[in-house]
Amino acid sequence: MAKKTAAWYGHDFGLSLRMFITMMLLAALYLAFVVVLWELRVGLPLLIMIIAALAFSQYFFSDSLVMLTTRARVVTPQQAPKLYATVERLSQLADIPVPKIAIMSTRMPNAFTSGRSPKKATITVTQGLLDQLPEQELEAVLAHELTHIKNHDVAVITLASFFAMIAAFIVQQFFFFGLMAEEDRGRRGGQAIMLIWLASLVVWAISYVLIRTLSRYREYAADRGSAILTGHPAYLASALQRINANMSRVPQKDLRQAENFNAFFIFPAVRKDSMMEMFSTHPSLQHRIAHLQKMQEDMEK
Amino acid sequence: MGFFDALFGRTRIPEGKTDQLFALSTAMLDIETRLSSTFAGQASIVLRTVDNSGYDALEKDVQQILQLGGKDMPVTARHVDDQQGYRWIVFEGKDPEDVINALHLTADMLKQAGYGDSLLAAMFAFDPPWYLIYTYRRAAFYPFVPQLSHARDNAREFRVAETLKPFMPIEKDPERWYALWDPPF
Repeated sequence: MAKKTAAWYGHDFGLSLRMFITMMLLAALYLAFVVVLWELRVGLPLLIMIIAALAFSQYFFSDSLVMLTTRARVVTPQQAPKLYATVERLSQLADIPVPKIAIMSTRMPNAFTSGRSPKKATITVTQGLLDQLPEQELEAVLAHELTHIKNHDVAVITLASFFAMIAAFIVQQFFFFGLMAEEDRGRRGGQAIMLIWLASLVVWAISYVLIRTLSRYREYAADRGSAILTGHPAYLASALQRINANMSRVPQKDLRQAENFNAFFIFPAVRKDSMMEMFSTHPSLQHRIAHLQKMQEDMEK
Repeated sequence: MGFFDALFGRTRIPEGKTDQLFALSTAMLDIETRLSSTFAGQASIVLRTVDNSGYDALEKDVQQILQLGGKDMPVTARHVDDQQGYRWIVFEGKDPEDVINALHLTADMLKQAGYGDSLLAAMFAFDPPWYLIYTYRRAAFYPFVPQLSHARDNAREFRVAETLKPFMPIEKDPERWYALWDPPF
């Protein structure tokens, strides 16, 4: 058989590399944090057990929690035949089981994914998204969400946040933690607790930036996935533009309510002035569109 | 999709696997006798249309090959673009063997031209109406028995799958029995 020609989309080595560096930095940071805690003889096993239980429950119950707090309603293939038909074909193309679909009855156009594994995944779309997007753009958004499922993004971010949660816990529960450390107070006293608190603060701050950086790279990856699955990078680009335009029309009250769910959304609902890219979970619209345009150009080569 | 692909968020559509398709040729007799259905003379490749100019040239090649082979391969092909942005290349012919060959030849050409991951599925129509779907991602077959208003006859699908299991690769995970609604044939 003749040698197969390479697929039209190629690889984004830069993106993989940046993701790798971010994850490495995060791992190094966490390792250093554990070493500091170890050196200062913190009751580490107990702490890790508490956080592990927290993380575990978050990991397992986040699905139902998200569904509960967003008041999204899961629909059956009979209730939304067209939506399922589209998702089913994309799933077959991406080789993942067909996820459940839920609809959230808000007019703000958006979509997000929940669920810890491809088998448990749910894609939630808002009524606004269904009403305002043409079919092709809707498909591009669904393909973006399916790529999140395929890439296990919920699991990756949960895992990446594990030690950040420990650090945040120490910083926020300073007094409780002080008491806990008191019990096995050995050679060093109050100074050690102060040091742990400072170390935790530093770890918390740095990991915050790193995790958000990672999250942005995952978004780029999902954008790529959407372009690859639909074969049309331009569909997602125009969908993002439309969502952005319609988002700004929504009154501010709605926006602030929505801000809690940002990490899951295809497009974050934040006011323009607070959109500092380094601290945001999503890359800016211009950057995302530039990446998609680059893919479109590569395709024509 | 390996662990590292997930870790780095690399989307890789699994390469379309065309090689298991011929299992259908050998199983055709069993389908006729054990399920008392006959091949309805129609089959189709379903593929994702890609937005570039190289693809159009390829399309012409496919047509040409089919016309050239037309004398010893009595199969006709036509294109239908559906509402969802997929293209159906529908093959028609009396002899299932010829249809399978023509379909495989076309899929292979698409694959060699770099569109292997655009191949979604191949669909074969049987009479009384039901379909056998070959999924290029997983190199396996599964039955599809559509009913009115996007419902499926799951009981019959399971029966068909159970009957055909010894004769051809059947997709084991029923969650991967993706529906393909409203085939244009």
